[in-house]
Amino acid sequence: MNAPAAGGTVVDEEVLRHVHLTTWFDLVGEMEKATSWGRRSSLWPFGFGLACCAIETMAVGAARYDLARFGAEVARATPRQADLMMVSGTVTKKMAPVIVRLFNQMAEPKYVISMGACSNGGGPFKEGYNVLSGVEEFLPVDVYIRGCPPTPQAFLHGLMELQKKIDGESYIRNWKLKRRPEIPVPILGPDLVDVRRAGEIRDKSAAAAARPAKPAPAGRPAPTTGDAMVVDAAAWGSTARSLRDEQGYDYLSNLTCTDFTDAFEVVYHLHRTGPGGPRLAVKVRADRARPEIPSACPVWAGAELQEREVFDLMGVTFTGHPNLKRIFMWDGFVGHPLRKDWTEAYYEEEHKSFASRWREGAYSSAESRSAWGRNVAYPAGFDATELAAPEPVETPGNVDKRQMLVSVGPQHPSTHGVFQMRLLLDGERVLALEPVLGYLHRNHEKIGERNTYLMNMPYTDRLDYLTSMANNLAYAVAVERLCGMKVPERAEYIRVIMAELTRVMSHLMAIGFLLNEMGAMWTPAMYALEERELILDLFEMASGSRMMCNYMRFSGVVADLPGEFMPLATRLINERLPRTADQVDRFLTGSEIVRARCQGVGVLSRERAINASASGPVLRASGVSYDVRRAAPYSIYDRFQFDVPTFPGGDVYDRYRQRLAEIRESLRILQQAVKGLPAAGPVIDKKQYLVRPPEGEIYSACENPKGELGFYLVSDGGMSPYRYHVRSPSYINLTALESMCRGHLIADAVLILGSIDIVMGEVDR
Amino acid sequence: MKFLGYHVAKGMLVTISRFANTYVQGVRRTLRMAPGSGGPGSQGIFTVQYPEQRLPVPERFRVLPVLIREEATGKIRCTACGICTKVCPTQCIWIVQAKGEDGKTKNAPESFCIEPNVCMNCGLCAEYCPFNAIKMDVKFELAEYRRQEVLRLEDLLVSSEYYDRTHPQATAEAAAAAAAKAAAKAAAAAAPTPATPAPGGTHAAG
Amino acid sequence: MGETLFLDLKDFALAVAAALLPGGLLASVSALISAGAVLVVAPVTMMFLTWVERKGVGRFQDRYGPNRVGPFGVLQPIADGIKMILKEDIIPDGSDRLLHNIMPVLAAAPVFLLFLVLPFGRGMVAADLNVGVLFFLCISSMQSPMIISAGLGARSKYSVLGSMRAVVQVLSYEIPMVIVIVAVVMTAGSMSTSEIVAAQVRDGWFVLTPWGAFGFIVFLIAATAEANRSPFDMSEAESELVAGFHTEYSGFKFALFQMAEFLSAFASAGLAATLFLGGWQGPGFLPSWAWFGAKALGVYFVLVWFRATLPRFRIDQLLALAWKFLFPLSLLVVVAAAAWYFMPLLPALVTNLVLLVGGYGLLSSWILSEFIRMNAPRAVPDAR
Repeated sequence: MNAPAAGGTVVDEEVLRHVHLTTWFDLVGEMEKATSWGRRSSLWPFGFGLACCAIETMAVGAARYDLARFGAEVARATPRQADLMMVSGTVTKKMAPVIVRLFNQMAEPKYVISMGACSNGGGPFKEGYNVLSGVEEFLPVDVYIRGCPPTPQAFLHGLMELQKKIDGESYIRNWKLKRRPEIPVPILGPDLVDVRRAGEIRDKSAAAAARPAKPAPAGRPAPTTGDAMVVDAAAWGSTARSLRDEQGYDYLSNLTCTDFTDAFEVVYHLHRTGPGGPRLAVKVRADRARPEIPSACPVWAGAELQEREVFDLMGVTFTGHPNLKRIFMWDGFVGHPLRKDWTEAYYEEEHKSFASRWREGAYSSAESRSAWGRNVAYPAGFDATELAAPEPVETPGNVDKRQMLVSVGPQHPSTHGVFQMRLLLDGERVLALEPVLGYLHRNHEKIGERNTYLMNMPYTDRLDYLTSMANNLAYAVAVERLCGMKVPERAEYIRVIMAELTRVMSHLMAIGFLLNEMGAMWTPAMYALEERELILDLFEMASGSRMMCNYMRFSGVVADLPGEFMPLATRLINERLPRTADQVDRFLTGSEIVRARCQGVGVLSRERAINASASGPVLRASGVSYDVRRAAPYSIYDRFQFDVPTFPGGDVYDRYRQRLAEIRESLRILQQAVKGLPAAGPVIDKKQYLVRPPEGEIYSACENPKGELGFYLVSDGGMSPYRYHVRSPSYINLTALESMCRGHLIADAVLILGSIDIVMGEVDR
Repeated sequence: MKFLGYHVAKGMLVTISRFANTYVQGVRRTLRMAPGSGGPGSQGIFTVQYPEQRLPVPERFRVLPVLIREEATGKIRCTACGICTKVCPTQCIWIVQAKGEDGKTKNAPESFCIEPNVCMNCGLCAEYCPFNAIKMDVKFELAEYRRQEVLRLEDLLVSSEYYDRTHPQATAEAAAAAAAKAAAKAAAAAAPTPATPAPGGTHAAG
Repeated sequence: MGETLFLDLKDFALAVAAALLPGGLLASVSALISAGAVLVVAPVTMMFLTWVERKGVGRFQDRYGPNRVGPFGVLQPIADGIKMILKEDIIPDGSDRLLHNIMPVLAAAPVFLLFLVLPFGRGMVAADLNVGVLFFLCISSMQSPMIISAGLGARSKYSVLGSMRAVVQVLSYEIPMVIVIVAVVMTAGSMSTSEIVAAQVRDGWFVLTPWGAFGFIVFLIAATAEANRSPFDMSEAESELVAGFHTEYSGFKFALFQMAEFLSAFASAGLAATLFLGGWQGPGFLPSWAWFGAKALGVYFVLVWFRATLPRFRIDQLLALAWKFLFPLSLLVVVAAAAWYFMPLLPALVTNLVLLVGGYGLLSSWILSEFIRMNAPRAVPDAR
C-alpha cells in the first residue's frame, strides 16, 4: 500500500513515509475492524437462562472464571440493551414463543450462543413431549457449545469462538443493508405450531395418523394395594377430614396417580407431625372412563398444586378444587401425557433399550421418524392457518380502576429460572398471585417410565440441578429400599459426606441469591459461589462432573474417592467453610437493610406451613421440627450428632437464619463423617446395570436441601418402573406462595419467592 | 439506643477488607509467599484467567465418549457387544455389528454412531463396557459454528496412548487389576485341586 | 509543580485568540474555552468512572473486572461506546416518537452544566457564580421532569407509576441535602463554591467538625439517593421486573442515560468534596486540581463501595428514611452548625455531641421500628 510508485520523486517518498495511503474500500475495512473490535469486546449478555446450563453461565460470571475480563459481565435485564442471547438449557415448547418474542425485541447486531446439548439438538430430553429439538428451529445460532452442561471454561472457549466470528464480520453488509426480518412467534395450539410451516402442517395433518401406532400397553389390570388404606371415592371427602382431625394426619407428604389400564389410582401419603411415626398410604380409585374424585384441598391445602398436576398429566378431575386448570402443559394442549396409552411424537418402543440401536443400528435421526419431521403431533385434519397468535396484554383488573394484572416472568432478572407469576395488584399491594409453571417441563416422569432404573440416575441429576448428589442419593435409597439392598460402610459415609457438602453449597447459594433479590449487586452471591466452586472441585474429582454427578449407584457409589479428595475435603470442612459461614453471618445477619427488608415479610404460620405441605427450611423456619433425617431416617444419619434448628417467626429473615444454622449443622455432620469414614473397603455391594425390583411399590423420601425429595416407584417386576413419580419439594413449597405474598408489595413478592428457594428443574420436572 | 448503620458499617468493613486483601495477596503472590488463585488456600483474587491459565481437569472428568484403538496393533478394542447401547440413558449410541464374508457376525463394529447433542455425558457407557473400549474423553473445548449431528466411527477413535496419557490413574489401576488377575490365575493353575470360582467374576475391571 | 498547568493552557489559548480575534470577543472566547473543557472532560470522565466502577466492584468480589480489552481494561469503555453507537435504534410502537428521541439528550445535557460551578483547583472554576451552590441544586433538580416525561412516553401504566415514584424519591432526598448545604453556606458565609473552599482553607475542613461530619454523612446518603444508586435504586430494579421507562431505550440513547447517571453521581461527589472536604486544598506535593480529583474520586469510590455491599431499600422504606430520619437529622445539623459558629469551643463541642449523637440514636431507634411496622402485610380482600 505504501510502496512508492515507479518513477516517484523525492517529495513523493517523503509523503509516503508519513502518510497512510489506502483505497476507500480499505478504509471502510479498517473502520469495520474498529467497529468489530468494539462489538466483540463489549458483548452484553441478556439476563436469560433456562435450566442447568444457566447455572454454569452464572458460574462463569463468578470470581473463578470472571466473564468480566472479556467485558461481558454487564447482563442487562431488558432485551433492548443486550447483545448476546445465551440459550442455556432445555428449550420447551411452552417457552418457545417467549424466547422468540424476546429475541425479536433485541436490537441488532445480536448474537445467539446455543449452550449445552439440550439447546443444540434437544439433549437428553429430546424424546419428551414438551421439548423442542434445539433452539435453532427458531433462532439463528452463531456458536454451538457442546456439553451437558458445558463447564465454564468450555463456555469461555465458545465465547472466544464467537468473538473470532465477530472479528470477521462486516457491519455494513450484515445489518445496515440487510436487516434480518422478525421471526414469527410460534403459537401454542394442540401442539406447538410454527407459523412459517402452517401450510406444510395442514397438508401433513390431512395425511398422517394422529400418533404413531403402538401395541396395547402391557399394564397391570389388577392393581395391588400393598398395605395401603383403600378408600371409596364417594367417601373420600369425609374420610380425609377424619384422618386429619381425629387421627392427626395433618401433613400430606405426597399426592400422585398411577394409570392402571382399568382404573386410575390416586395415592396419598400422609404423615403426623406431632407424634411422628410411619407414613400412611391411602388409595382412592377412579374409573378410567370418567375419572373423578373429591378434591383433598379443603382438608390439606398442599394438595392444590399436586392435584392440578394429576389433572394435567393424567386427566383425573378433582371436584371441589379451587382452580383446576392445567399447570405444566398449556390450555390448548391435546391429551394427557402420562397416561399409558399416550405416546410422544418420537415414540419408538415402550421401554429402553431400543432394538433399533444394536446389531443393525444404522443411525437415523429422530426427526425422520416423526410424521411431521419434528417433535410435534397434531390431530388429524388440523389446520394451523386458522390459529390466531395471542398477544400478551396487560389487562386491567375488573372491579377497581387501580387494579392491574401484571406478569412477572418467565424471564426476569432474579435468578430463579423460568418461573412466571401473575399478580393482581391494587396500586402496589399484591391481591392475588398465581404461579404459572411448565416452562421447564421436561417430561422427566414419562421418560422415567421408559428408562431402566439405572438410566434414571443421571436424569435425577437434572431435577434440582444444584443438588445432584442429594438427588442421586434419594433415588438410590428409594430403589435400594424397594429391592432390599444393603450398602457397604464406606459407601454410606461417602454418601453422607457428598449429601451434606451439597446441603452446605445449596444453602450458601440460596443465601447469596436471596441477597441478590434484595439488590446486593452479586457480592454475597460471589462469596457463596467461591465456596461452591471448591465443593464442585471435590465432586468433579470423585464423579467426573461438576454438576451432573451421577455418582450414586444401587448399593453404593460408582467409584471410590480419589487420593486428593480427603485432604481437600478436610481443609474445606474444617477451615474454609466455617470461616465463610461466620463471615456471611457477620456481613449480613445484623445488617439493618437486610432486617428492614426481611423481618415480618412473608410470614408463614406454623399451621399454614403444615397444611400447605411445606418442607425443608421453609417448614422448619415456621417452627415445625420436621426433618426427614429424623422422622424417617435413611442411610446412617442416626449415627451422627446434629440438631434440627427451627425458628418461630416464619418470615423471610427466619428462613435466612434457618439456612445459615443448617449450614453449621451440616458442617458438624461433615466433621463427624470425615472422622468416622472407614479407611478402606468396598464402595458398592453389587455392580449391575439391570435391576429388577420385585413387584410392589414404595414411597421413599430424603431430606434434600430444598425440602423433602420423595420418589414414588411402582414396580411390575420389569426392568423399568411402571410408575415413576418425583415428589418435588420446590414445587410443593410454592403452594404457600400466594398466602405469604398477599398484602405485601411487589418487591416483597420477589423476595419471598427467593426465600422459598426454588429450582425450576425440580418444580417443572 | 440503636444506631442505624452500625451493622451496615460492619458489613462494609467485611467487603473493604476483601477488596484490600485482593491487592495484598496479589503482592504476596508475586513474591511467592501465598498460593495461587482459584484453589482452596486462595485468598484475594480467585480468578483463573482462561485461556492463558487453565484449571486442570481431574482425570475422571467426562465429556463425550471416545473409542480406543490400540496404539501397538492399530486394532479397535470395541467388539460391538452392544452393552453401551443398552445402558445409555438417552439411547444415543447406534452400532451396526460387522459381518464377515460368510455372513457370520464378527466382533467389531461396522458403524458406530453417537449423537453428541443428545448425549448427557453420564459415562454409563464407559462404566459398563467390558472391554475398556469406550471411554469418556476430557476434551471440553468443543464449540463449533455448525452443529454436527452425529459422530461416526472415524470421529470417535483415539489411540490408547492418548487415553493412557490423559488418564494415568485409571491406567495404573487397570494394570494393577490385570496383574492381580493374572497372578490369581497363575496361583489357581499352580494348585491342581479345583477351587471355587473367584467371587465377583461378573464385574468388569475398572 | 504543575499547579497552574490548566490555567497556563487557557492563557495560551486566550493569547492565540487575542491575536486572531477582536478584543471584544475575548470574554466570550474565555467562556467558550472553559465550557469546551467541561464538554470534553465530562465524557472522558464518564468513561473513566465506568472503568472504576467495573474494576472496583470486581475487586470487591475477588475478581479482576475487565482486563482483556486494552491493558488493565482501560479501553473497555471505548469498546462499549463504539458498540452502543452502532446498535439498532428501536422505538416501540406505543411510545411517542419525539419524546423517545429527545429524552436521552434532555436527560444528559443538564448534567454538563453541573460541572461549571465545581472548583477543580485554585482559581479553576469554569463559571465563578456567586450563587454557585444554588445553581447546582437547581440544575440537579431538573432531572425530575425528565423522569416523568420518559415514563409518560412508555406504554404501560406501571411505568408511569414507576417514574412517579422515582420523582418522589428525588424530591424527598433533596430536602435534607439542601438543608445540610444551608448549614455549610451559613458557616462559610457565601453560596459561591470558591468562597466555600476559601473558608475551609482558612478555618479547616468542615468534615472535621462534629456538625460537618454528620452533615457529610447526610449529604452522602442524600446524594446516593439522588443519583438513584444502591442502596436506593429500587425504581431501576423494579422497572426491570415490570416494564419501565428505562427498559425501552437501546443503543446510544441508553448510553446517554447512563452518562447522565454516572456524571451526576460524580458531580455530587465533587460537590461533597467542595463543601465538606476542603475542595482543592491539600499539602503541596500534589497540585490543587489533583487533590480535588482525588477527593471527588474518593467520595465516588464510597458510592461504589455502597453499591458493591448493600442490598437496596424498598421504595416506601427509602421515603421513610428521607422524611423520618434524614430530614430531622439535617435540621439538627443546622442547629449544631450554628452552635459551633457562635459558641466558644467547649460548650459548642458538648452541644454538638448531645444534639447530633443523641439525635442520631433516637432517630435510628425510631426508624428501625418503623421499618418493621411497615413490613406488616395489609389485609386485602380475598380476590377469589
